[in-house]
Amino acid sequence: MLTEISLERPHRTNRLATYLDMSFFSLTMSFVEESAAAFGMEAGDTTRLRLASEELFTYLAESDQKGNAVSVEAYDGWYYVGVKFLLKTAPPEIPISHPPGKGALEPGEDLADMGLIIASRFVDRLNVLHDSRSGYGVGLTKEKTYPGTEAPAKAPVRALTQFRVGRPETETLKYFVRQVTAYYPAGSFPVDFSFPAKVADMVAEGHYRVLVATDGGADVAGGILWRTQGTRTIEAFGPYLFDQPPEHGMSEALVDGLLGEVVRTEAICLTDIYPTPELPEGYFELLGSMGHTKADGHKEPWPIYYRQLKEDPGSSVWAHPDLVPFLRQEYDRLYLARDIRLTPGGGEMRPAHPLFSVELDRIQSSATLHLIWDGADAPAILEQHLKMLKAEGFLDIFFTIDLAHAFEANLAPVLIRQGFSPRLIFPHAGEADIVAFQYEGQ
Amino acid sequence: MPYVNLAGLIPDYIKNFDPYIPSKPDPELMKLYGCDKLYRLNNNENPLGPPPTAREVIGRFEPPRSVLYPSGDSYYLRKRLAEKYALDPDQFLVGNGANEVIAFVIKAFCQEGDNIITADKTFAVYEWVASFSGFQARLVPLKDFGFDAAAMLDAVDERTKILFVCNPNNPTGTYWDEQGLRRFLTRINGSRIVVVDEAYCEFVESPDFPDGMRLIEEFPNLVVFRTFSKMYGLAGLRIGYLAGSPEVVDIIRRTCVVYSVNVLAQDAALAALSDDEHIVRTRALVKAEKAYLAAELASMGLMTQSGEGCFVMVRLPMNDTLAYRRLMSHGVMVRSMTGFRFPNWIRVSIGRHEAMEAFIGALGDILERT
Repeated sequence: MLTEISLERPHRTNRLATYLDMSFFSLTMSFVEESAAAFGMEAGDTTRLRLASEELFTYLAESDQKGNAVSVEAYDGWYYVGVKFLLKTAPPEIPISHPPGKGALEPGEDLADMGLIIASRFVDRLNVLHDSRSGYGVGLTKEKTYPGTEAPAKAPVRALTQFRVGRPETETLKYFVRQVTAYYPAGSFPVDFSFPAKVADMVAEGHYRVLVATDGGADVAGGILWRTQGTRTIEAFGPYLFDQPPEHGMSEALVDGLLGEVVRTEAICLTDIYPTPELPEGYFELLGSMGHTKADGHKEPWPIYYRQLKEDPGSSVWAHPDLVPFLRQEYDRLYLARDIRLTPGGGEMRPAHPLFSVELDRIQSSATLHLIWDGADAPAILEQHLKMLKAEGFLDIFFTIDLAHAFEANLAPVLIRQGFSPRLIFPHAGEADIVAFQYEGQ
Repeated sequence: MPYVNLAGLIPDYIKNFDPYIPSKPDPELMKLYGCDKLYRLNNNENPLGPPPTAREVIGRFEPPRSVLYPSGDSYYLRKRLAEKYALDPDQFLVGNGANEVIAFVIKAFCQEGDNIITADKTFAVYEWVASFSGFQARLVPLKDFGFDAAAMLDAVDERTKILFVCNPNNPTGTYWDEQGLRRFLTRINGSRIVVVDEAYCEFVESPDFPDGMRLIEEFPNLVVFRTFSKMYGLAGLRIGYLAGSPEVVDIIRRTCVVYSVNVLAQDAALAALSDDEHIVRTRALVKAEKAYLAAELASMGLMTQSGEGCFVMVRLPMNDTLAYRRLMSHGVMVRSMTGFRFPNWIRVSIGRHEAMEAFIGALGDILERT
């Protein structure tokens, strides 16, 4: 059954205005715990979210932030509960890179005692929030536990010559998800697909959007899924077809349907990060390939396809000379008109300490680093981050630089020296193009 | 610097609206794409330029006149339009391009909760203006590349205020004949405003093509859009207009921004209207170059959609936004059609033969290397 009515439900948010003072520790933890429980999170997950919040609060309350006002937001993302510690009045020093008051880290110094890292072990995602308008903060995300389903069997579907593409109702969506896991091998779809009810909640939350192809009744013959990354990139998954011959055009119809929904949004690029063999010809370009490390340590190529949704206006980007050969090669291959401006470095004074953001995804065992602002000891701090992330068992470590910022572009030689390789350019994914590096080891 | 709580100030329909980013000026594009010549075949401009009568007016424009405001309501132009179409001058409103008059109409009739109806694959500005004004744009899929009258009527509800029909349709070139348009207007029966955008009507030679101007008296809820940007080659001066019944135009006038049309545009448009030879010459060029394109594109095995108007749609075996970039590197600028919800199609404007040959050459090259 299809419906044109949006399944999306708005976030529910609780807010607590308090202070980074241990006197308010219990109050804040009760707020987090009670909010999570009220949002339907089970006891075990609630406890883990509380433990992460305890570490984070303690860490911040013992830092330079001590005594400062903090706004704590707990919000229900349907499939997860998020907690944000927002530091609008904070000075621009969030101690993510190194403990406060200790100055620059010395090479070899152990980061394992960092409160934020400990906090991250209890949750699925931890990220530094940095917005020039809203201020700074740290976000924790703990996904809810969902019942898994037994490996479903393929339900044969007759080949449809006539079909309808539209948004599914919840039960149709869950059926589609089960069928995807029956028809396609693991790795062809997001791990969330092991939990159909979770996907339904993720669609309700707006994290994913989905179109399915049906015969107008109960037969679901295929579908495609996508989500928004930032404001300018759409990430697609699929298309997934169940026993449908290519000549019936269902794959094209699903991609056309997706495009129809997103072409008049802010998004500029559409990437397909879980392409299937059914990806229709002529719709996408090969953006490049990352590596995905499986739990057994085997690394397999991870091709990513893309198409632009708008005419590329051409643009200027900053680049360190060491990165120029990669950029020229990729820009030429992708026919992207870019004016590359070199960042030779002028010997000007730089702040002592950089600020890195680290987004940890324990489900995917991946970590993504990003430089928020520059500092002279960036190489040493980066090295410490790598050491910590490897010790924590993260299998894939990425670093992204936004070529809109010369200070980010200037980090390229440091990244390359420390074992990163430039892998992909995501056009317009940041303020300008974003280059994704992957850690390959020394 | 004070903190500005922008998030709290912006309506949701603005937050969710994607601003249109026009292309950079030609010298910038040529530098970026490394080409020494650029054929602009993306905006359906007239390759012959303005009619000689308008050129003459533009050429003798006296700079001191710039100091004075223009006629606030394009007085003489409306008078001339009234003579030409046997209507009253007050039945016309002139705007800074037809895009501006779209906004006049939507602002005049829509309020919170209302909707407009148009096609999903047509000129995007009806949808844009409705969306960024906070009104729902109900988009009815095209049927066989044409507006689907029955489906549009089915989409009408009690909050529908305006139905927009692009006739002939940009980008497909299909059109409703007079019988079809009359049938639609009869079914609406005066209950809603029906806008018929005739931006490309001067290119149509078919005898069954309806002249909206002649239907206004019979259907007082009909509003007709016309422009000087296409056939009359005055796109750079931005001037277009609407016509309707006196009662309807009187309402729309309340949302009309006066003095938005500059004096040179008014003078040039007035002069252009008297040059029918220009239309004949342009039609001949368009006809000849469309025939050339049809033959060349057929020989490449490409599907085309070419109806009325000074443009042709081409289905490519590749992503149209990639084709756009690759054609740009050959100095040819077309319109990629993903934004019109025609993925993998491009629309090419009819230009002079040299430009058409450049397009065919570049297209052949990129397809060969695909």
